[in-house]
Amino acid sequence: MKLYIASTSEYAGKTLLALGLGTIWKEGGVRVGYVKPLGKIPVVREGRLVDGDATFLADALALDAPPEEVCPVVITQDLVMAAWRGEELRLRGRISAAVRDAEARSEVLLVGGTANLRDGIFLGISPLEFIANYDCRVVLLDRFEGEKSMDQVLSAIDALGPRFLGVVFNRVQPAQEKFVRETVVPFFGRRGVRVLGVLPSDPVLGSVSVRSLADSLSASVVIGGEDGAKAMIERFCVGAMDVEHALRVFRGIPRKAVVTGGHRTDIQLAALETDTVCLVLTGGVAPNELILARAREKGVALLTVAEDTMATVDRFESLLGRLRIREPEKARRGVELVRASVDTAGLLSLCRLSP
Amino acid sequence: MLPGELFHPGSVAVVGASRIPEKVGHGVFANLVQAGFQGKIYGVNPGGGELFGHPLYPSIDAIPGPVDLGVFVVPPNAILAGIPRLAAKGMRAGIVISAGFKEIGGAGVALERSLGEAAGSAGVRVLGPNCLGLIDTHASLNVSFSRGTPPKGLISFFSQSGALCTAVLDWAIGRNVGFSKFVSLGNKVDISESDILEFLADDPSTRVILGYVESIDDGRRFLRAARNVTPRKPVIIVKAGATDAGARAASSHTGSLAGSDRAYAAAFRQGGVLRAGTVEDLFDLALGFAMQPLPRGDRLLVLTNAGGPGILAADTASLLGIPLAAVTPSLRDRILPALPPTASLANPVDIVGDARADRYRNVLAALRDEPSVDAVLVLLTPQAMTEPEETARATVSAFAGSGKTVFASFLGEATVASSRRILSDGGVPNYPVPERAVRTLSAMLRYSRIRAADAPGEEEAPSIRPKTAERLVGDALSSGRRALGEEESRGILEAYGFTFPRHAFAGTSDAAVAAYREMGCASVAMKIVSPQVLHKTDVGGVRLDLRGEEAVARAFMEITSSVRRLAPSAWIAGVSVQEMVTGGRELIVGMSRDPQFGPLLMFGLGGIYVEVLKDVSFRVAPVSRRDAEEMVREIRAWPLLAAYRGSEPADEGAIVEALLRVSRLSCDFPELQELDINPLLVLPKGKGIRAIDCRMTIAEAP
Repeated sequence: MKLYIASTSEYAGKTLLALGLGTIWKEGGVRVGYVKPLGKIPVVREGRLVDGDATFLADALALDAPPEEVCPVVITQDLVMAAWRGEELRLRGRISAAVRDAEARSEVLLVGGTANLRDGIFLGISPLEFIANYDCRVVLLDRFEGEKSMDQVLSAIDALGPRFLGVVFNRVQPAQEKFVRETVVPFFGRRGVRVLGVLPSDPVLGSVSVRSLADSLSASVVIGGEDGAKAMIERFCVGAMDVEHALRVFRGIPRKAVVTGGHRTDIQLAALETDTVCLVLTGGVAPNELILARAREKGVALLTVAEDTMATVDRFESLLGRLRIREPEKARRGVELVRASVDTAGLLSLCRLSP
Repeated sequence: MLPGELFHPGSVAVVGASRIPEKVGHGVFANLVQAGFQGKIYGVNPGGGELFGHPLYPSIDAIPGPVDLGVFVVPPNAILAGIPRLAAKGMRAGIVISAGFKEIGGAGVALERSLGEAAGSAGVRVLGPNCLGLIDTHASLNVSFSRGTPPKGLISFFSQSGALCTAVLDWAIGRNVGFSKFVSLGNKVDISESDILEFLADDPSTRVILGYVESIDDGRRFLRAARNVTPRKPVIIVKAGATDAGARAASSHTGSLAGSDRAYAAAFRQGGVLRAGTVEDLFDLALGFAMQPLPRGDRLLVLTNAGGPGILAADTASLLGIPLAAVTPSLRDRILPALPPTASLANPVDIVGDARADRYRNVLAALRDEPSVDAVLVLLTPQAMTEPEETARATVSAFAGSGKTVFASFLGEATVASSRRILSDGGVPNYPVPERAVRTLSAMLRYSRIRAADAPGEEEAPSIRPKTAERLVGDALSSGRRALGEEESRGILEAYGFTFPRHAFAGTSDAAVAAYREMGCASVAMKIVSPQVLHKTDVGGVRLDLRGEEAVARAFMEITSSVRRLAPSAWIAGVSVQEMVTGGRELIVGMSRDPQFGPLLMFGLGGIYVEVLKDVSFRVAPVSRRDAEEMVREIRAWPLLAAYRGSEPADEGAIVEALLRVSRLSCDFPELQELDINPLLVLPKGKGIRAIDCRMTIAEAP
């Protein structure tokens, strides 16, 4: 039995759902496998090219499988160039071997899909074709965005046909919950579409650790803060205003990183006065001694970057909202969210009922 | 409470007394010996020997007797080691003059914390570190590295800046102004301005308290201390960092976030502290308060030998709201015989340029017993016939023991220098220009009012439901929300007695029309409901005064379309339909939690008055009813709330009530960081107020 986890867009939460379903079903005694036919996050691990997400899941679900079986094809520059040149890629054989082996070891095989139902066509591995060839059941994930979701979900269901089991909406804001419950779910119900879960937008899952932030910004970690740079940042804001206004803004934003010029001592003090996880000082300025002392006292991490505030904020923006689950705290939280908000038992019986 | 040993020790040890004249430890020991301290003096120096006839002990343990006060002029680590050992010899108070602590950052910060801990566990109160030291002229105690000791007097001064301490000292010595105590606070590891205020409140040899502060760490304690002392003696403070640039400098200098200057201004006002704008003002006011009795009333008479300075004095008095005393017929009859026909008998009384000392003397004698005059300003410009010294003596002797408040302003320099000395020795403060004398009088009058005012009582705002508000705040916090919009904060304000217009949520235009019909009122206002939209008008999210179903339906369409276009990423829940309130004036009531002083309430008239003219008043919560009334009347636009061009006067009582409720709410909920009720509509007298829109920011209480 294969369950394909599809999504309507990037960062919809496929890894989260696979992690949740895999963990919860395993607890219930089900032998769960995982395979990701096409990986897009090339990482070199122990000399071998693997996919970042797939490796994370293989570890988290304690899969006893070699990485090339968990993710047989990882997109690399060479692969892309070969596709452009029209070379013979011979990917299907690798994929089918991996799927066959993984399936042999599991009762339910979770298949991690691509960002949408088109990605991979240029490599000759169309998601829709894969689903049909391997006769997968499909659960669809959608990052809820109002009426845009209607189009995305309805068009995907249309393309998937009878193999579609149901949809899970993710990142539903608190203000949208009532609307989703009272209006969106009945809307799909009337069209015979099962809504299997509504996952709320979650500050922990949307967070990034000080350590990974420092990596992404190429920042030097002057102070690691609580638990040596493992603390999680949920929001960020820029300190480029006068100090009184800054205090106003900073108070409204919990568990944040504040990006500000290295010389703006007043802004830095204001940030330290409020719920701040991390200060990011820009411009390559050595931090003021008093700020260092205060940050240590308050357990706030302090990073410095050589770039100016503008460039740093650009980097930040490309980071937040497109985060991957890696940290154990986020993984735990993710499983709990899936447990609370997705009908995992119902989905399992749907899978089992399917031919 | 500070131990008395800090100012009146029986014995003092100077750890780091040095025989090398260039060293600070030498200067401190020299001052201690030369100021004539009567108690036991112990110098500690590992080299031993003798200094100014006193033996130097090689270690603290070698000191033969008990020590009340320890003064440290050695490196930080030696201080940490020395404190417990001196405490074992009975030390109750310590002064750490040495630098090398918080102000250098890094390791210094840790050292300063250790210093605080060492003092705390030894039961010793510590002044400093990084300070100039302390002087008490009444105890002949000078444990500072100042240059010289000021004359004995009744003014006490504390300062966060050591450099300013030396400047004030130099001024005191140069101008022969008597001082009681000089306290340099330094980094304030333990003893703060509030400790000093509490101590000086009960100090019989202090009549006026002056201070220089850059930052106050515990604003609420300061406010309590100030409220306690200002009814007994005047407190005049220069607060540095009043501007944004100054505040930034203060932040970098002291390492603490400078609270908003408005919070300081509000707290000073509520604590009865007189704020001097400049160090010059501080000196001017100090002289007035120290030398002269408080004015019994506000009627000022200006006596002058020239027109110009008299007019300047009259202008300043008028600007500051000080009435010039009318010259009564009986006073006129008494002074007329002494004056030439060219003299002016209006106030300012101009006895013209050829006035010699006896003409002054005759008029001054008449003024001494004149019941219609409370304060006298004697002006003198040096002209050919003028006798400055004699006139100064006449001024001094005329009012000695009269109970009248007297100031002099002898203008010029070369010919009046010696007369100034006569005035100041005789207890009459002299000012280089008349405006400064009048400003000093104004401050003394303000202080008289402060002293006469009753202590503000705590007000109980009626019909408050803290339990409901507690639940709402708790719910918002546990759902992780920080910025609460109108929909989420309305209930909290309702629990504190605020009334909102009738309102209903509508998800569609049909629902909006239905809500309108149900309300049955003439017109409604409609506002977007979206958690991402905080400034509703900026995105076309507000429509006012809508009449008729068609207008309501169209407004729904317009509002939602406009927000979709201007804020494409915002989630639109729908629209709030509210009964339109008319005939009111728009106010803003707000609260922002200041890092030092706590909740700071703000009041102003809505629209341009707040946004453009910044016409707002501030108070630190909790506010008394009197504070709230003052807040309302303090804004310049206040007359607009009274009957104006045929409009009825606004319900001022309801505004005061609203301020008291916000004050209570801010104090009940430390979670509340910011609060804005904008606009708050005030209706004509007797009809109350309506909150139209509001938002809050909350955080876990510390």
